[in-house]
Amino acid sequence: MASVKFENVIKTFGETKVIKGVNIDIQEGELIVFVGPSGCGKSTLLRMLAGLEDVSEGNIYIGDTVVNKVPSKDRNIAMVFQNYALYPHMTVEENMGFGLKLRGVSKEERKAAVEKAAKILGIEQLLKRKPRALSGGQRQRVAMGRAIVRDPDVFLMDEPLSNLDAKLRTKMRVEIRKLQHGLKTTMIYVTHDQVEAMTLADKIAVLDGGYVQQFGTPNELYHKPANRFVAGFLGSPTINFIVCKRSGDHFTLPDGQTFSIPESRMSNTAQDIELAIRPKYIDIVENEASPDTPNIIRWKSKVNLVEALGGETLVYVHLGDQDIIVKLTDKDDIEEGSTVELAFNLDNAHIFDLSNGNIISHGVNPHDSNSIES
Amino acid sequence: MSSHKAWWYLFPALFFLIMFTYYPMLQVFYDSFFFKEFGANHASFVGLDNYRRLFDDPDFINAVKNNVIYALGTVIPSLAIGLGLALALVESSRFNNFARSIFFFPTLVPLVAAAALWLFVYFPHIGLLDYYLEKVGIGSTDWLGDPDIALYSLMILAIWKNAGFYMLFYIAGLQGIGEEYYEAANLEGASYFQRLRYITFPLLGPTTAFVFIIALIHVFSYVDHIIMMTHGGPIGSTKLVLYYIYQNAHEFNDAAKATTSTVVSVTFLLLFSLFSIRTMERGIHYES
Repeated sequence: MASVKFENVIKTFGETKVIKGVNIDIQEGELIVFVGPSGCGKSTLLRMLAGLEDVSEGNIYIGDTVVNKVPSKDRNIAMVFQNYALYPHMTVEENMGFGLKLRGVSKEERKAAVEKAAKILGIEQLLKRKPRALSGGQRQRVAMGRAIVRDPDVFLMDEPLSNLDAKLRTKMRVEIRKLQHGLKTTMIYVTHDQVEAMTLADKIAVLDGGYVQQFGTPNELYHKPANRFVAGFLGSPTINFIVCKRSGDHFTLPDGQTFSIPESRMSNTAQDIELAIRPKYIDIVENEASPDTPNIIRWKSKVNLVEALGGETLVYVHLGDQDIIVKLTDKDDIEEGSTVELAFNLDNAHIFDLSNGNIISHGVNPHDSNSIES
Repeated sequence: MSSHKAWWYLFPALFFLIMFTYYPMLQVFYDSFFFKEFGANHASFVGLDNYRRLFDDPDFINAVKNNVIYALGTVIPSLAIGLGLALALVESSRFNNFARSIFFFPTLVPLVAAAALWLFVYFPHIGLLDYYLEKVGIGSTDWLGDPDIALYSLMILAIWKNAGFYMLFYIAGLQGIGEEYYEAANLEGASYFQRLRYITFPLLGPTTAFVFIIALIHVFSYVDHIIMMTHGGPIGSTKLVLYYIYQNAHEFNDAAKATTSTVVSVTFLLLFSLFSIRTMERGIHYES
């Protein structure tokens, strides 16, 4: 077990700067997820920590040691690769025991360690097989087994579930979480899947454009996004962004309505803004006569599309020229093509500065629960 | 598609294969049971007489013995050198690409031309080799004229000619091994030589099996340099099976013996190829 620290880490490939200055502090035993769209540099960060890529500038620490120049093999790190990288000519047992064999661990000790790990993962019956005789899920387990056997300081996982089908992915996600809780080893997990990130992580680092956009617990990131990117990246369906033009004290919605924002929630310097409202905080109001309440935004829209997902219904509407998604959990009788009246409370919306995407003020969570939407 | 139609697609390839490979093979096999005096019109059936004659011929036994030495001494070193070159030059860089062409070049030279070239190298006193060896005080050697040395001189030529060719297969083989295996092994603490031993060599198995067969066929099917350089001499020390066949057919006009030894060597090659593919496949792990 060890802590990990990225300190002003920069990575350039030739002329291209991929990582532009990353600082992340990871405590011992934490499960950290690096998440971001493809090309954000999350895998590069992981590979630098593994020693598979050089660090161009800055320092990476494992424990108290700067490991920039320490060769991979001396970092005591285990990694699960996206395609597992199981050696095709070795049996499962040999694959899992390979690292120990290289260290000169005796045959008996190796066997015991492999069997212990196999038991944890429920793959005892596969030990004599070759990787090609295994299913995707089994290979995934063997790859994890190979990492566990060595009892490393840090586990690295590079999109380990992306080759599995959706159902198996959900199952393995839970198992990885349980496994990490049991082993209490520091784990860094890279994924582009925000659902995986939200459900697995103690803390998430959202990466984009070579920077850490935000580093915090899933709840913090979901309810208190630092900027427009984080708000838009986490949560499904995606949060709705509504561009509003400022004119003096008033703001104009895309459909021409004007409204005002309490002074406490606005900065003086910002001009045009974007309201960000989660689909579940918008409601369809049936009582047309309901009186105008302050901070409630209401409008009428034609229903473009309805997706019934069983427990919930997604309704696609628009506000002016902007598309809006509404998530309903209590109504499933909305008809496509009909006109409905919609409403949300401004208090629930985050306000971002349109010019730079930074947060001006966070909305409040109406249910004030810790539940995470996925 | 009906099998009727499939035959039409197969027909051109099949026709030439049968006419120029299988028919002659069967004809040779058939002929090996007949004896015909040179110039005579009539061949008479002699049963296994030709085979008896062949195996009683010390000249043939000598050729087989030479060929075994030649095969061992050529195939193993040229595979090892090919693999070594491939390991050194597998990364693409300007220098490596240039070096690859240099080492591949002998493959492009026709064997006859290569033999002519090496005649100059091996020429006593004034040849490339002796000229410099005499200068540094090592006396002159009759590289092609000494019966104890001549076969080995030819083996060096064959290694020079083929190693670059096998290098090319090994480079392709090495490039087919996924980078992630090395990365995984690296993280698990493997040194360069441990990666070679546990990852590279086992995963090159299919390449080695293939190159080994190719090399073996090379050894038995090229005779040009012997005709150019030694004519099987001195005192039969460089006579290989193919040269023995050539001599019997064209110099001694003993068609029956040439035919019979052809049957024996082709049968041996076929069986050996089958056997080595089988045994090697058992130890080989193709990608899943």
